[in-house]
Amino acid sequence: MKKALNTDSLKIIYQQYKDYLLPSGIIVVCLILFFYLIIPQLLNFSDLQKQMDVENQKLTVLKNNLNYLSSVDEGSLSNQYKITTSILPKQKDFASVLNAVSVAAGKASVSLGDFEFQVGDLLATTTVKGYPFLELNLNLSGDVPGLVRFLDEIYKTAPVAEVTSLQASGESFSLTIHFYYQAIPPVNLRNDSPIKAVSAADQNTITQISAWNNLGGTANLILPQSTTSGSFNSGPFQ
Amino acid sequence: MNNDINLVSIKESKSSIEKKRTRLLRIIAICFAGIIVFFAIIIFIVNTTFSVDSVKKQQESVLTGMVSLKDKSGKLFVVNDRIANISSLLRSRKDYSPIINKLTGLVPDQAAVSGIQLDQKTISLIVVSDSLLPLDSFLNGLINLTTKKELIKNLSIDSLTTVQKTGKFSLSISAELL
Repeated sequence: MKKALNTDSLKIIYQQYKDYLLPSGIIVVCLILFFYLIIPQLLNFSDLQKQMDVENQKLTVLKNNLNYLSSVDEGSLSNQYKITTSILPKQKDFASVLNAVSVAAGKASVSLGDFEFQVGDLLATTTVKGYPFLELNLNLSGDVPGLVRFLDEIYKTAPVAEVTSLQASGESFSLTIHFYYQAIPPVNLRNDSPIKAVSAADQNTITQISAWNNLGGTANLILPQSTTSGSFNSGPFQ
Repeated sequence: MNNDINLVSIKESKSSIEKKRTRLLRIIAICFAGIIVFFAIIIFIVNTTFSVDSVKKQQESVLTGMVSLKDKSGKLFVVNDRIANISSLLRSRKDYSPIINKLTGLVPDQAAVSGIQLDQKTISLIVVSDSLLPLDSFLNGLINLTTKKELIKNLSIDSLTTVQKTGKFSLSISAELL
């Protein structure tokens, strides 16, 4: 009886307010959509904008890197690599040092005497100005102008060197020369960081050092021919 | 006329008020729906225009293009590193040939350099001559350089000796390099 009454009263209420139901429902749904979807999306716009800026910057850097790398001439870059690694080798290069001294002495018209490498502790690396070096004690004979010419030549001969002490007595000279080297740091190429192009100043340095002697490293090293000290029998049973 | 007993008139006005209310509610509902559609369109346009995914796809395509250039990129890194280090060394290393040239250039023809000792801070020279005059001239030249603060400073005479056997004078000087 009570149930029937409730159903009847609900029907009456429905009949009375049925015109209001649909618009009210639409308004409620719209309000829910507005507060739970539209407003968060609108608030998200500034974050989205920031994210877009970051990603666009990355894209610009990547495109610039790609364009720059595509424009770099492979041959020219290989040549620059060869020159710069000849001048500052990545490790101790005894042969190149000897060749440098030989070339400089030849160009300066002085005679090379005894030489001695001061290698030092193989485990601990000694550095000067932050660079490891190979120390060479060298004796030369000639005149003072010849010594000056030798200093000029050794300063424009690969690998890069610095005379740290010099003693001259009559026509014999004793020099201590540091030949610098530097290991190549780990190549850490980040895609989102711009590639450093070779600047005009760097280009000038390359032009200046490309005229140095001994850029081929040991390629020009002329070693005395070995003498035929013995022979071997290719067929021992013959 | 009394309004309280005119029942028909009251019913009609109630019905028109309800109609007005319903109409107003519908208009509000339509406006709300319109606003939601408007914002939805705007959000759609913004999301389409500022699509992070599309930018990331472009990045990936550029990165794919760069794979073949990895070798070049590595070489360029090494070249830049070498140039920076070489430039630093060239700037910092001391060139002794102009110093020796300049100082030995001060030695007159009647004298000769018999010894040089040079390190990163000091230079010592031994000059020999048959006469004291060329040595004096050489000394004056050195004093002049020191006064001008050119190449050397703190000039000092270590010794001035004469060798009886050869009859030659030997002047030993030392100076700090600038």
